[in-house]
Amino acid sequence: MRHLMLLVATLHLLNTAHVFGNDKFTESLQLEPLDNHLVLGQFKFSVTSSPNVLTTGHYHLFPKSLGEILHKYHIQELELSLTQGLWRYARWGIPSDGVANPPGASILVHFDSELPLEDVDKHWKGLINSLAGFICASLNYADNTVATSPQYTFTPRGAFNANKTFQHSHLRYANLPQENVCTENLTPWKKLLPCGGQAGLSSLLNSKPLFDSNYHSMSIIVRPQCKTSECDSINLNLTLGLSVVLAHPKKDYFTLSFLFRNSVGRECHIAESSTVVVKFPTVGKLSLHLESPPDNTVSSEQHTLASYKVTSNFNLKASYKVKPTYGAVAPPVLHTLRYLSGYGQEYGSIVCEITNNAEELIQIVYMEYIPWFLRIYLHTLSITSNGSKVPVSKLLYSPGLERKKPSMFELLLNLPANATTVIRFDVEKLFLKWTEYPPDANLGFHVPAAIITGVIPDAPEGSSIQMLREGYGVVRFYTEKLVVLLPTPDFSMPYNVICLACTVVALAFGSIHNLTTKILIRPKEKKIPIMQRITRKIKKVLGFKVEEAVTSTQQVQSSTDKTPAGETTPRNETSVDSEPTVDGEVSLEDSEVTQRD
Amino acid sequence: MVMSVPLRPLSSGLAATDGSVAIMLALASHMIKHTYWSKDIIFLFTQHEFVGVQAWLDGYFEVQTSSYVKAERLPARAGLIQAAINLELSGMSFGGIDVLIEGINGLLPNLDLVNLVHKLARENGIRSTIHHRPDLFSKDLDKLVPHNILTTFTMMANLATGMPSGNHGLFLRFRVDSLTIKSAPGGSSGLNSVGQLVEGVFRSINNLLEKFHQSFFFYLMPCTYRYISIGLYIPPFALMVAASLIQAIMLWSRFTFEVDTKKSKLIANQDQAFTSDGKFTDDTIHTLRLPDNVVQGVYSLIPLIVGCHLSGLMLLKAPSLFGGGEVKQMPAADTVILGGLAGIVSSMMLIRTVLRKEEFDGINWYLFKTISLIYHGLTLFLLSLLNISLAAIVAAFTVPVYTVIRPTSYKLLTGLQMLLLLLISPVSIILICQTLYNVVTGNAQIHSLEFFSLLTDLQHSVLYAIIDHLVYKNYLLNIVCLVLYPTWLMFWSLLFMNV
Repeated sequence: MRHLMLLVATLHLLNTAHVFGNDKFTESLQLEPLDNHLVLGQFKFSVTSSPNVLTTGHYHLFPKSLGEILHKYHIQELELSLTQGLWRYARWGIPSDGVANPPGASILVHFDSELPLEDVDKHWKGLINSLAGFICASLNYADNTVATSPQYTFTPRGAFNANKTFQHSHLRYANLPQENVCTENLTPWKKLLPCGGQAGLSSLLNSKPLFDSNYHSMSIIVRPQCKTSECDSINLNLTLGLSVVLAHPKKDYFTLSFLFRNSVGRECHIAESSTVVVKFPTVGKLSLHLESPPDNTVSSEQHTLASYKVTSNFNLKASYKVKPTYGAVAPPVLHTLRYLSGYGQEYGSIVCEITNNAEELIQIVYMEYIPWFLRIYLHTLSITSNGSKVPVSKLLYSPGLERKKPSMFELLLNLPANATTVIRFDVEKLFLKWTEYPPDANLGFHVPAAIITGVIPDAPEGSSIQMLREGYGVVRFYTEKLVVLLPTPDFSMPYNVICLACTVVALAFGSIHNLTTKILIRPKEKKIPIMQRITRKIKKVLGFKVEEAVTSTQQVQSSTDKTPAGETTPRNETSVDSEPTVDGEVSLEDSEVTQRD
Repeated sequence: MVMSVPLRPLSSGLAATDGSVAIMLALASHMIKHTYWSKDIIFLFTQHEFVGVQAWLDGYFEVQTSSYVKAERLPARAGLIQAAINLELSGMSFGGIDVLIEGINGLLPNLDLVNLVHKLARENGIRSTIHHRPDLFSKDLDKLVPHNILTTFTMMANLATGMPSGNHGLFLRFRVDSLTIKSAPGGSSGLNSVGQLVEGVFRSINNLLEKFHQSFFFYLMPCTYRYISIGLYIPPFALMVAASLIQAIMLWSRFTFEVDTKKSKLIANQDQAFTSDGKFTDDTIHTLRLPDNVVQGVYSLIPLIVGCHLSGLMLLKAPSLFGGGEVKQMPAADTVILGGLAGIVSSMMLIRTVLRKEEFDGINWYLFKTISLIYHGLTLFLLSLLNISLAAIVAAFTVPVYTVIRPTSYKLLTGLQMLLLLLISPVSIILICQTLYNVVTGNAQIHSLEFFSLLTDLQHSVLYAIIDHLVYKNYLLNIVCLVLYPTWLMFWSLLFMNV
């Protein structure tokens, strides 16, 4: 019996080891100094697994929670990013792939091309709801009224079956620019890591410095990947990326523990490789001196890459060769400025200025993606550069429908060399129904970032070049998101009116109800003989007791039980009292209140 | 959020802004270190006072407010501007801050922003004032009430001109709440405390989730911690203007009554309608000329009313006509003023001669005065919603006179009424207000109350109004030329009508 149990255990172990051999986990952190006392940290945790895990359900390193979602909704590629802040191209340059993401939450999904077209919308809806719970973000708002399917901007970036054609109808992209990113998103994200934020580089993920940063973006990217260069079989690759721009003011050096206010504790033994790469310009004011010698250095004329293998209690110190100063930064080859022009709450125009600093034409795809609450006037679209018109090679326009789908257009453009190209079109701001306003209506509504996709001549070097190759050498730029003030009614006014009206009604109801529903009938006066009256007066003067009990306890009989409030009875009483009675003697039977219809 | 500081050359003669430059640079280097800023902060240096601000705003919002100021493309920008604070601090120590809020065309920033600055000033121990008038803390109502009334009047006088009291005023046109923090002379507080105040204002605005929208945009401030809201100041103003409307109703009923009785009398006593030689009597002619109905009566008045407005339009266009430098050996300032005056006088005379014509005999002055009073009352009500201070000042001068004006056959009385009307003509109102303001604020020396200096003052006011109209699109001149002056001309012509 004991032998049998041992055998089972061994088999089980063997089995694990076998599949574990297929799953591969690597982690890396790339640090790069930026101008003006900033450092870009780029974490990359990559799990490579066999695509069979999805069908067999034998999960090892690949997170099961995510795998089930991918399998259920027939997803071929998934890119999910949660970003706070804006990657400032003009100051920080063009980053390597995956660092810059649009502000807020964005989801890009390629559904399996075998999925029937009519199921795509249904699957999308299921997917966003699952992902919303999965990452604790309100992605469920990115429903079919928000999502769009651009044709040129996004192409599959993973391994792609050449027999299948890419259909943009199986692609969905949505961006929720108002989404805030915080620890509640980081925690589920960390849980996807094999070492779960306990060991290895993931132990550096301390939420305080991460969120007290100039820019941070976390992403989940799932793509099929070629196993070999021949690409005869496919692996499933999950990349969990986190990019953060951290400040270290007034210091001429930075250390790992200083930047992340945490240090690497134990190694993550599951990781096949665990590296820290420092990338810096070989010469220039951002050139670095590294305290401890790196394990490996690759150097070109422009950039140096120094890599370290992460061990227990790993730390790193890099000091600037020249003391860093604040100052103007030379802009990169391509940078953008997007803004809302005009004022008022009815009309405006959206302007995007794209500056091409290169000596050659740059071909780009410009995608503008506008929520339905802005009506765009495509006929006002003008693309100019230094006053002359820039020809559009192709324009793809998917008009928006109020409350149904967003407007989206894609432009294929050749940006003239050494010039700024201005794309401008007019929008009308919609007057929403009053239930459609969010509680903070006066905050304004967010318009997602535009996306510029192009092959940039002077793309960043080093490891990022490799990344670019993976993405066919294409760089995606995300512009600023916009905040638009829609015509907003004064929501506090109805509240005030309701309060006031209710008070008035409450105060006035009782008395008005009484006045309108009841009639006061004066009691019949009894004719008292004159002699009796005189004697009574005399008695009174003399101090005799006169039967006046009836008069003083005169009551108005609330004849029916329909009298609304208790207070009305005494009020009626007083009003009857104030009626001048001839003698003050009214009998109980005579006084009555009748209900009027 | 915008923090702006005007740069002024030493030769400009205006107060230096060195203190605010220091504060802005210090705050900029302090603010950049923190990540709690949820909004972009624009640090803006402007030149040439209002012109610089307007050029930047035009560039930012991509509009062209005036054809005289052209904006270039801005290389850097942020999103919607929530608030703008303009700093005008001179020197390194101040006696407090003066908070200026009046914007272009009588616009005001949201009261929350104003209160925020005053409250933070109190918390920081800085004395805050309105137009250099500090709060009076006194239980003695006899002192407190006149003090506060005078403060309100100073604010109203500034609002009525339609010109901003500081560089912030042009932001208000674009619905950006803004104010100017100016230094008051003295030496009780230093850069540090004012810097803290400004930082506090920006931190407070930064923490706001929404645009300023909850509190008042229509208010008057008698002191830094109290305000008079629109609900309080409109009823007294309405009462002021109601006088003219009530009289209009009275005249209306009298007009209809009179027409009816006269006509019925004519029908009843047809024999009296003719003179002995079979012609109509004068009275009959007059009665027959009375309109059959009101609509007909109003039609007969249209040429006159249109004429009054046309002369107003001419007056509005006069500056560009006379200021062209065509007249030699005379500065443009003089030609514009003289041209304008000539225009006024000629239209006054023209009306008089035109009214002598036979065709205008049929006009009944009751009806004309009714219409003029209603027109006057309605325009004042409209104006009160745009610029209550201007409307109140105009109403205070015109309503009493306009209600008593009526044509008489007594030459002396007519002369007196003409004098009264001349006294409240738009030109005289400007002159009177200018003098009053100078006396109240103590700007004027005694000798400047002489007649000629008054005239130069007038000339300056008019010229400034024209420049403001052309460059900053201040609509004061439009209102004067297209509304107030035609109304005045209508009442002027009333004097020359048949009794």
